[in-house]
Formats: sequence, structure tokens, C-alpha cells
Amino acid sequence: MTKAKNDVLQGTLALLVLKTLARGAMHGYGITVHIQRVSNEVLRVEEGSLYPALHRMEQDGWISAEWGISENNRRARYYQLTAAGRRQLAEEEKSWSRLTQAVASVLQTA
Amino acid sequence: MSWLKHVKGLLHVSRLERELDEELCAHIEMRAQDNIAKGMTPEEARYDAQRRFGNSTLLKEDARAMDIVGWMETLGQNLRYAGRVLLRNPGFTTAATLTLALGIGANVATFAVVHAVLLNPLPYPHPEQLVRVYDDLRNSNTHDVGMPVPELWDLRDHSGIFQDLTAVWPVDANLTGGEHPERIELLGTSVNYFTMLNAQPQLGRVYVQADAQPGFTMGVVISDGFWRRTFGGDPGVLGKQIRVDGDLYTIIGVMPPGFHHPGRTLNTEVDVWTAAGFNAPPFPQPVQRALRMLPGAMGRLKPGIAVAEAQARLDTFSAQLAHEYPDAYPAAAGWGLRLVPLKKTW
Repeated sequence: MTKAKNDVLQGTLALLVLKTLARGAMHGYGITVHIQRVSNEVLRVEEGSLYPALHRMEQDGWISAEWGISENNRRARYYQLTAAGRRQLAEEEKSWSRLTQAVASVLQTA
Repeated sequence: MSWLKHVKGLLHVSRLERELDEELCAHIEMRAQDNIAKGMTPEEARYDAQRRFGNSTLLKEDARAMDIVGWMETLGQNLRYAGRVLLRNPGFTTAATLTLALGIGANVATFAVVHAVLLNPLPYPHPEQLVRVYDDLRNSNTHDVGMPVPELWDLRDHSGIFQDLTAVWPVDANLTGGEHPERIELLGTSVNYFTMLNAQPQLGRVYVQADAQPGFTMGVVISDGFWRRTFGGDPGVLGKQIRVDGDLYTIIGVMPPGFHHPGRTLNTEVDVWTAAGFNAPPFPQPVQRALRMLPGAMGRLKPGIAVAEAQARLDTFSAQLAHEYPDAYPAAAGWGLRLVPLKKTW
């Protein structure tokens, strides 16, 4: 099985999930759909990475989860940011922009 | 962090798994509905939704592994705490340690015996096929009276139950020719002894059928212990001659350290194995059925014949022999043959 080219880069998944949840509580499926739509179908979150990542972030206390009812009347698990998660998001956004700026300056000078 | 919480956590694993299951099912369901809305057939829609997950069992394990990492970390903390408590209470620590040490020691000792006697099979292929063959005179209640040479041949060639059969003749012998005479233990066998056990030497070779002589075979095989003790483990020992009870033999092989004669020895271990045909001088000629010359015999049963069945067939066979040679096997003696699995003989 070949991997799709635009699978979300290792390490950026947490950032994308945190940013998505900053808009409000959402279930796992909603997170994948949101990221795909907002990135104009460029970024695709793999289900196989998403749930372990959500579980890890929950353990780290960045997000919390509770059962709710989805748009189509199904029981679904909704994730939302905690205060620690908001701080983490700010951290990761900062380091991400540092990284992209650094890469950009290398590309411009080379 | 209490132990109770860990136990409860372990009990909660199944609940966690159910929740995870439900969560993943909901995800698949929602994806499938969206797929249908995009124009897929319900089957395609569901297949696509599931395919994206890959192996969902693996996924659940990955998610659960996160719990285990945390558990390991707190386990480390608990162990360090235990260490501090033990250091603060040296009296209790000593008593507990001694109790554990004695308990473990007793268990190890018991297991070692059980292991050796009951569990540990002999270090040969198919040890369950190996048996000692005893001649008994039942009417006088005398056991293990020795075997005449022609009887060994009959059992080997005509009883139909043995793949191989060898005489075993332990000899307390005198090694001369070195600085000091030395008492060694010799085992006289038939030439197929090592083939029967399927035992390989660590150096040189063992004697085989091709070495058969009516009298003694000149080439002998020595034990690892004897090799180290007498020859200092010299790899050039092959071809050297030793004089045992005045007779000259040539060393053709050295057995590995783990090899021991699987039967009774005289005092310690067999030092030297030697083969004989028992059918030429120095053995009495011609061979006599009335002379119980061989101290014992050891055999390997044919595959698939259990000891009980072999014994039954042996009883029939020995009755025929007794009938055929009434002079050698007088009815009044009540002669019979008895098979004992090798594991039980020592």
C-alpha cells in the first residue's frame, strides 16, 4: 500500500488538531474533515494516526473528552481544549512559524 | 499514586476498549454517510470508510499503549519508594529477605531434583525408547543375574522389538604407562553403543559397526573429564596409546563434557569406552548359553513400540528360547527378561 503524498507530517498533527479544537469542541471525524477542507484538500489526516494522537493529548492534559450527540444524532466523543492545551497551542504555533521562517530564509539565500 | 488505582486501571481497560470501539464506529458511520452524500453506493461508502482505518485492532493497541507507558513510569516511582522504606526498617528487611531466600532456595532445590529425576529427559534423541534389559531368576527371587552372549545376539536379531542392543560391562581398571598408575573406569560395550545412543564425539570419532572385531576393538573413546585430567585437554590426543590392565589401546575419540553413560557406573563416571564382540579370546570359546558372562544389556526399542508392549513380546520370545534351550534355561529357575526404561535405572 503506498502512502498518500499529503499525509500530515509527523509532529504537525498535534498542532493542527489543537488549532482545529480552538474553534470549539469537535469529534474525531469532524477534525479530519475540517483539516482537509480548510487546507483545500491538500492535508489529509490519517485515521490511524489521529486517534492515538488524540489519546496521547488527552493523557497529557491538553484536551479533554466527553460523549455528546453528533449532527446526525449519533453518540460521538467530543474533544475540547483545556487551559494547558491553549498554552501548548501557542507554543507550537510559535515554534512552527520559527521553523517555516528558517526554512524560507534558507530557500531564499540558496 | 496508589496500587489500587493501577488495579482499577487494569479493570478499566475493557471499558476503555469499548469506548474506543464506539468512537471508531461512530467515525466510520459518519464518513460512510458523507460518502453516500457524495454519490457512492452504500457498500463502497462503508468500504472506503473502513479502509482508511487500516487495522483497527492495531490502532486500539496503539491508543492503549499510551496507558502502559504511564503505568511503567509510576511503577518506577513505587519501586524507589519501596527501596526507601526497606532501608529505613533494616530489621524487617533482613527478616523478609531471609524468608524469601530460604523459600526460593528450597524451591530451587526441590525443582532441581524433580527436574533431574522426572522432567529432564536423557540428552539423547528419543530417550523414551532406551531400556535396560535384566535377566531375572524369578523362582529364586534373584534379579539382574547377567546375560549369556548368545542370548544378546538372539534378542538383537530375532526378538523383533529392538533397533539396537548393546552389552554394558563396567570394569574397574588400572591405567599404567604414565607417571603413576591410575584407577579408571572402563565400560565394555558392543560396537554399536554410540550409534544406539546417537551420541557424537567432540573430537575424533566414535567406534561404529565397521570397527567390529570378534574380540576387543583396539580403538577406544575417552570422556571429556579423563581427557582433561590425564592429557590436559591436548587436541593431539587422537592416536595416542594407553595401557589399560596391561592391554594397549589407541584413542580414537573424545566425548563432549555433557555426555555421560546413561546407566549405572561403578564409582564415578566412565573414563574409557571400549568395544568388544565377546566372541574371541580373551573371551571363552565357544560362546556358551549356560554362562551368564555379560553383566547387562541396554537397548533401543523400535519406534512406536511402547515399553509395555515390548515387554509382552519379550515374554513370548523368552518362553520360546526357554523351550528351545531347556538345558540353559531350566524351568525350575523361572528365568525371565525384564525391561526398565533407562530413566528409572539410576
